[in-house]
Amino acid sequence: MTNSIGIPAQAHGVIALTASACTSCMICVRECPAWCIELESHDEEVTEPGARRPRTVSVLDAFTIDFGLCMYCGICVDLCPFDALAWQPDFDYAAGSPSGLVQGINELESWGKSRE
Amino acid sequence: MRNIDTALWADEFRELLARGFHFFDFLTAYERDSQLEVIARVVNPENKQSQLLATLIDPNRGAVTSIAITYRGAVWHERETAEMFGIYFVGLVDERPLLRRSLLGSPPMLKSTVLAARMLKPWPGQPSHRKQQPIGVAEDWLQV
Ligand code: SF4
Ligand code: SF4
Repeated sequence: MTNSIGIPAQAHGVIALTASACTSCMICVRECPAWCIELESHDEEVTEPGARRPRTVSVLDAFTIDFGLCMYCGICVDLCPFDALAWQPDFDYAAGSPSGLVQGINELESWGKSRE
Repeated sequence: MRNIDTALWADEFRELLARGFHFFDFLTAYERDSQLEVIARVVNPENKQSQLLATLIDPNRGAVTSIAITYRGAVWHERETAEMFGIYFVGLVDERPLLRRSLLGSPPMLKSTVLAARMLKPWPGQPSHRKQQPIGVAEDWLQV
Protein backbone atom coordinates (compact mmCIF):
# COMPACT_ATOMS: atom_id res chain seq x y z
CA MET A 1 0.00 0.00 0.00
CA THR A 2 1.28 3.46 -0.83
CA ASN A 3 0.02 6.94 0.01
CA SER A 4 -0.95 9.63 -2.51
CA ILE A 5 2.62 10.32 -3.62
CA GLY A 6 3.73 6.72 -3.67
CA ILE A 7 5.40 6.41 -0.25
CA PRO A 8 4.93 2.85 1.05
CA ALA A 9 2.82 2.61 4.22
CA GLN A 10 5.63 0.83 6.06
CA ALA A 11 8.20 3.54 5.25
CA HIS A 12 10.27 4.86 8.15
CA GLY A 13 9.22 8.50 7.91
CA VAL A 14 8.50 9.46 11.47
CA ILE A 15 7.93 7.74 14.82
CA ALA A 16 4.41 7.91 16.20
CA LEU A 17 3.50 7.51 19.85
CA THR A 18 0.37 5.98 21.32
CA ALA A 19 0.50 7.68 24.71
CA SER A 20 -2.23 5.49 26.22
CA ALA A 21 -0.10 2.39 25.55
CA CYS A 22 3.08 3.87 27.05
CA THR A 23 3.84 2.73 30.60
CA SER A 24 6.77 5.17 31.09
CA CYS A 25 9.08 2.17 31.46
CA MET A 26 12.01 4.27 30.10
CA ILE A 27 13.35 1.42 27.96
CA CYS A 28 13.30 3.51 24.77
CA VAL A 29 14.88 6.49 26.56
CA ARG A 30 17.76 4.36 27.89
CA GLU A 31 18.41 2.40 24.71
CA CYS A 32 18.25 5.29 22.24
CA PRO A 33 21.87 5.68 21.04
CA ALA A 34 21.30 9.35 20.18
CA TRP A 35 19.83 10.24 23.61
CA CYS A 36 17.04 12.04 21.79
CA ILE A 37 13.99 10.70 23.67
CA GLU A 38 13.00 12.29 26.96
CA LEU A 39 10.02 11.55 29.15
CA GLU A 40 8.54 12.69 32.42
CA SER A 41 6.00 10.79 34.43
CA HIS A 42 4.55 10.59 37.90
CA ASP A 43 3.01 7.75 39.90
CA GLU A 44 -0.66 7.66 40.78
CA GLU A 45 -2.62 5.22 42.89
CA VAL A 46 -5.70 3.76 41.31
CA THR A 47 -8.24 1.58 43.05
CA GLU A 48 -10.02 -0.79 40.79
CA PRO A 49 -13.45 -2.05 41.74
CA GLY A 50 -13.15 -5.31 43.67
CA ALA A 51 -9.40 -4.85 44.28
CA ARG A 52 -8.23 -5.03 47.86
CA ARG A 53 -5.37 -2.58 47.55
CA PRO A 54 -4.80 0.41 45.28
CA ARG A 55 -2.39 -0.11 42.39
CA THR A 56 0.40 2.31 41.48
CA VAL A 57 0.47 3.32 37.85
CA SER A 58 2.78 5.66 35.97
CA VAL A 59 1.14 8.59 34.28
CA LEU A 60 2.95 10.13 31.33
CA ASP A 61 3.44 13.89 31.70
CA ALA A 62 5.78 14.60 28.81
CA PHE A 63 7.34 12.60 26.01
CA THR A 64 9.58 14.18 23.38
CA ILE A 65 11.62 12.93 20.45
CA ASP A 66 14.19 15.30 18.99
CA PHE A 67 14.16 14.45 15.29
CA GLY A 68 17.15 16.73 14.83
CA LEU A 69 19.23 14.16 16.71
CA CYS A 70 17.33 10.96 15.85
CA MET A 71 19.18 8.74 13.38
CA TYR A 72 16.14 6.64 12.52
CA CYS A 73 17.73 3.43 13.76
CA GLY A 74 14.40 2.10 14.97
CA ILE A 75 15.79 0.67 18.20
CA CYS A 76 13.10 2.43 20.25
CA VAL A 77 10.32 1.05 18.03
CA ASP A 78 11.77 -2.46 18.21
CA LEU A 79 12.32 -2.46 21.95
CA CYS A 80 9.11 -0.90 23.25
CA PRO A 81 7.42 -3.82 25.04
CA PHE A 82 3.99 -2.20 24.74
CA ASP A 83 3.98 -1.25 21.03
CA ALA A 84 3.57 2.39 22.01
CA LEU A 85 6.01 3.48 19.28
CA ALA A 86 5.49 2.77 15.60
CA TRP A 87 6.88 3.92 12.28
CA GLN A 88 4.65 6.07 10.10
CA PRO A 89 5.40 7.07 6.51
CA ASP A 90 4.88 10.81 7.12
CA PHE A 91 7.95 12.86 6.29
CA ASP A 92 6.64 16.42 5.93
CA TYR A 93 7.76 17.83 9.27
CA ALA A 94 10.65 20.07 8.30
CA ALA A 95 11.20 23.00 10.67
CA GLY A 96 12.77 26.41 10.42
CA SER A 97 14.88 25.90 13.54
CA PRO A 98 16.37 22.90 15.37
CA SER A 99 13.90 23.29 18.24
CA GLY A 100 11.07 22.82 15.75
CA LEU A 101 12.16 19.22 15.31
CA VAL A 102 11.54 18.43 18.97
CA GLN A 103 8.10 16.85 19.01
CA GLY A 104 5.95 16.36 22.07
CA ILE A 105 3.05 14.05 22.86
CA ASN A 106 0.52 15.90 20.70
CA GLU A 107 2.62 15.90 17.56
CA LEU A 108 3.89 12.36 18.08
CA GLU A 109 0.33 11.14 18.58
CA SER A 110 -0.90 12.86 15.43
CA TRP A 111 1.23 10.83 12.99
CA GLY A 112 -0.61 8.25 10.97
CA LYS A 113 -3.99 9.38 12.24
CA SER A 114 -4.93 11.65 9.31
CA ARG A 115 -4.22 8.93 6.79
CA GLU A 116 -6.03 6.10 8.56
CA MET B 1 34.85 -12.07 4.44
CA ARG B 2 38.53 -12.91 3.94
CA ASN B 3 41.13 -11.92 6.50
CA ILE B 4 44.30 -10.54 4.98
CA ASP B 5 47.66 -9.93 6.61
CA THR B 6 48.18 -6.15 6.87
CA ALA B 7 51.50 -6.45 5.02
CA LEU B 8 49.72 -8.01 2.01
CA TRP B 9 46.65 -5.70 2.03
CA ALA B 10 47.59 -3.44 -0.91
CA ASP B 11 48.97 -6.35 -2.98
CA GLU B 12 45.72 -8.23 -2.54
CA PHE B 13 43.72 -5.36 -4.02
CA ARG B 14 46.13 -4.97 -6.94
CA GLU B 15 45.53 -8.62 -7.69
CA LEU B 16 41.75 -8.26 -7.39
CA LEU B 17 41.77 -5.35 -9.84
CA ALA B 18 43.79 -7.44 -12.28
CA ARG B 19 41.19 -10.21 -11.90
CA GLY B 20 38.36 -7.91 -13.02
CA PHE B 21 37.16 -6.45 -9.70
CA HIS B 22 36.97 -2.98 -11.20
CA PHE B 23 34.29 -1.50 -8.97
CA PHE B 24 35.35 -0.16 -5.57
CA ASP B 25 32.39 -0.25 -3.19
CA PHE B 26 33.54 0.95 0.22
CA LEU B 27 36.23 0.92 2.88
CA THR B 28 35.78 1.53 6.56
CA ALA B 29 36.94 0.30 9.95
CA TYR B 30 35.33 -1.04 13.04
CA GLU B 31 36.37 -1.67 16.59
CA ARG B 32 35.77 -5.05 18.15
CA ASP B 33 37.17 -6.09 21.54
CA SER B 34 39.40 -2.99 21.51
CA GLN B 35 40.97 -4.03 18.20
CA LEU B 36 40.63 -2.15 14.97
CA GLU B 37 39.91 -3.86 11.71
CA VAL B 38 39.84 -2.22 8.27
CA ILE B 39 37.36 -3.73 5.83
CA ALA B 40 36.85 -3.04 2.14
CA ARG B 41 34.65 -4.44 -0.62
CA VAL B 42 35.19 -4.54 -4.35
CA VAL B 43 32.98 -5.93 -7.10
CA ASN B 44 33.53 -7.59 -10.45
CA PRO B 45 30.84 -5.95 -12.63
CA GLU B 46 31.12 -8.69 -15.29
CA ASN B 47 30.14 -11.67 -13.18
CA LYS B 48 28.59 -9.65 -10.30
CA GLN B 49 30.89 -11.29 -7.77
CA SER B 50 32.21 -9.33 -4.83
CA GLN B 51 35.05 -9.66 -2.36
CA LEU B 52 34.93 -8.41 1.20
CA LEU B 53 38.36 -8.21 2.77
CA ALA B 54 39.41 -7.42 6.32
CA THR B 55 42.72 -6.77 8.00
CA LEU B 56 43.49 -6.48 11.67
CA ILE B 57 45.42 -3.32 12.51
CA ASP B 58 48.48 -3.75 14.70
CA PRO B 59 47.74 -1.41 17.65
CA ASN B 60 51.42 -0.44 17.92
CA ARG B 61 51.67 0.66 14.29
CA GLY B 62 48.09 1.78 13.74
CA ALA B 63 48.75 1.77 10.02
CA VAL B 64 48.00 -0.03 6.78
CA THR B 65 49.05 0.68 3.19
CA SER B 66 46.64 2.82 1.18
CA ILE B 67 44.84 1.10 -1.69
CA ALA B 68 44.02 4.44 -3.35
CA ILE B 69 46.68 3.92 -6.03
CA THR B 70 44.79 0.85 -7.16
CA TYR B 71 41.28 2.14 -6.49
CA ARG B 72 41.12 5.93 -6.75
CA GLY B 73 37.66 5.97 -5.20
CA ALA B 74 39.18 4.70 -1.98
CA VAL B 75 40.72 8.12 -1.21
CA TRP B 76 37.52 9.50 0.30
CA HIS B 77 36.96 6.38 2.39
CA GLU B 78 40.53 6.25 3.64
CA ARG B 79 40.44 9.95 4.57
CA GLU B 80 37.26 9.36 6.51
CA THR B 81 38.56 6.20 8.19
CA ALA B 82 41.79 7.99 9.09
CA GLU B 83 40.10 10.91 10.80
CA MET B 84 37.36 8.87 12.46
CA PHE B 85 39.45 5.93 13.74
CA GLY B 86 42.96 7.40 13.84
CA ILE B 87 44.32 4.81 11.39
CA TYR B 88 47.26 5.93 9.26
CA PHE B 89 47.07 4.99 5.58
CA VAL B 90 50.62 4.74 4.28
CA GLY B 91 50.89 6.39 0.87
CA LEU B 92 47.57 8.21 0.98
CA VAL B 93 48.30 11.42 -0.90
CA ASP B 94 45.39 13.47 0.40
CA GLU B 95 45.41 13.73 4.18
CA ARG B 96 43.03 16.67 4.58
CA PRO B 97 40.27 16.00 7.12
CA LEU B 98 36.85 15.53 5.59
CA LEU B 99 34.37 16.09 8.38
CA ARG B 100 36.44 17.15 11.37
CA ARG B 101 37.77 20.69 11.48
CA SER B 102 41.02 19.55 12.98
CA LEU B 103 42.60 16.19 13.68
CA LEU B 104 43.50 17.18 17.24
CA GLY B 105 41.96 15.13 20.00
CA SER B 106 40.84 11.53 20.17
CA PRO B 107 39.28 10.02 17.00
CA PRO B 108 35.50 10.19 17.48
CA MET B 109 34.64 6.65 16.34
CA LEU B 110 36.82 4.96 18.95
CA LYS B 111 34.74 3.58 21.81
CA SER B 112 37.18 5.12 24.30
CA THR B 113 36.42 8.61 23.00
CA VAL B 114 33.84 10.46 25.02
CA LEU B 115 32.08 12.84 22.66
CA ALA B 116 31.64 16.46 23.69
CA ALA B 117 27.88 16.08 23.20
CA ARG B 118 27.92 13.36 25.86
CA MET B 119 29.54 15.75 28.34
CA LEU B 120 27.21 18.66 27.66
CA LYS B 121 23.90 16.91 27.96
CA PRO B 122 22.85 14.72 30.88
CA TRP B 123 21.72 11.23 29.94
CA PRO B 124 17.92 11.34 29.74
CA GLY B 125 17.70 7.70 30.87
CA GLN B 126 19.31 8.21 34.31
CA PRO B 127 17.02 6.63 36.93
CA SER B 128 16.28 8.94 39.83
CA HIS B 129 16.89 6.37 42.57
CA ARG B 130 20.25 4.87 41.50
CA LYS B 131 23.25 5.51 39.27
CA GLN B 132 23.19 3.63 36.00
CA GLN B 133 25.68 3.67 33.19
CA PRO B 134 24.38 4.75 29.78
CA ILE B 135 24.87 2.14 27.06
CA GLY B 136 27.88 2.55 24.81
CA VAL B 137 29.90 5.09 26.78
CA ALA B 138 33.30 4.56 28.38
CA GLU B 139 33.23 2.72 31.70
CA ASP B 140 34.81 5.49 33.74
CA TRP B 141 32.44 8.08 32.33
CA LEU B 142 29.64 9.35 34.49
CA GLN B 143 27.93 12.67 34.39
CA VAL B 144 28.55 14.47 37.68
S1 SF4 C 1 14.95 5.75 16.01
FE1 SF4 C 1 16.87 5.40 17.14
S2 SF4 C 1 17.77 7.45 17.36
FE2 SF4 C 1 15.60 7.74 16.80
S3 SF4 C 1 14.53 7.95 18.73
FE3 SF4 C 1 14.44 5.79 18.18
S4 SF4 C 1 16.22 4.86 19.22
FE4 SF4 C 1 16.53 7.08 19.19
S1 SF4 D 1 9.57 1.75 25.67
FE1 SF4 D 1 7.43 2.07 25.05
S2 SF4 D 1 6.26 1.91 26.95
FE2 SF4 D 1 8.42 2.18 27.54
S3 SF4 D 1 8.62 4.41 27.82
FE3 SF4 D 1 9.20 3.97 25.71
S4 SF4 D 1 7.30 4.25 24.54
FE4 SF4 D 1 6.71 4.10 26.68
